[in-house]
Amino acid sequence: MQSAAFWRGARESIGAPIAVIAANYLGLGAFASATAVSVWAIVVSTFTIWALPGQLVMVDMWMVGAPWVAVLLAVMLTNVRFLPMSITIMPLMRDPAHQRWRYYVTAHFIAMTSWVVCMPRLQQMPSVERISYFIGFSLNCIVVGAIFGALGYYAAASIPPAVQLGLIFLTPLNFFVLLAGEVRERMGALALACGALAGPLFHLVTPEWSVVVAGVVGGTLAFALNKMMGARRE
Amino acid sequence: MSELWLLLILCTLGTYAWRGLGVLLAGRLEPDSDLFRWVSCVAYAMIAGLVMRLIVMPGGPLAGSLFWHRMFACLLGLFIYRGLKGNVFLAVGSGAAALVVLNELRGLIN
Repeated sequence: MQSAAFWRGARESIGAPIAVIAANYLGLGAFASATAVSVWAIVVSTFTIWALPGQLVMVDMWMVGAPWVAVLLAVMLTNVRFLPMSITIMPLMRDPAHQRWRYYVTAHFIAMTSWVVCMPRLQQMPSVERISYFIGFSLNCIVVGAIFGALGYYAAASIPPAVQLGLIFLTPLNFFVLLAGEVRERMGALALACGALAGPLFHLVTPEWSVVVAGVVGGTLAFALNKMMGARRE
Repeated sequence: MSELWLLLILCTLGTYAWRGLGVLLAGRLEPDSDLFRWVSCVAYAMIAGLVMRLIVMPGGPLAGSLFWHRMFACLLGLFIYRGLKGNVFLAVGSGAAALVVLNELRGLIN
């Protein structure tokens, strides 16, 4: 572990992304306190699952008494995005100095915020520093998330339901703004647009499979469109 | 309650499986290949799909708010983000505040 890069990552995670994570987890904690889920389940799952939409699905379905096989399936299908995210970020982590198991440890820290924010940043530093930077960045986000999850749980009574609504809404809103506001190249823009259309559409047809199907169909459509447009320009 | 802990362990393993599988597959893919570009399209489309689904048809506490209010909050956030050259904090804060206010106003009128 490169400790300078680790601490730089931790330091550079402080700012808007971590503020949004804090507010999100405050919302999740407040929501969970209204259910039979204990505060420890929120704190522990923040460290072990580390995926807010997945945790929200888990708490929500547990509350309505869904069978645990259904909960597990729903959580896994909500989190299937980690597969392509992991495939695309891993080549950036590679360095001859690393042993193979380090990549498997690093993979646990992949989440939407760290992926969106770190992908461009990692390319601007020596490859040997990237794993340490990424883990420093992500671990700080996790710790802050867990603390605010617990705070939200205990402060729920003093957070009006109206404000809880705003806190929960920060998750989709944050990614909407970051993704729509930062997209630069054509392929990425097409993939976002196709996915944004396909997500709600396929949710109507098959709610439990929507993330998988929308991602594959929308992504394939975007890939094909990008190819066609590229061919036409030549 | 112990049933919840068992579920939590299963969800943890299930979630890590995707991340770990990604490491396994990444070693077999050439970053400058069409297959890799396709996977990257799928990654963006999955995130965009999930985010739009949470905005258009949310579950949990958000289900009680109006679609148009959520859409307005998103566009306001994007507008502020673009106008203020990348101030996520202000953009996201105003969007969420707008949703809370709109939702409360609706409650007052009804």
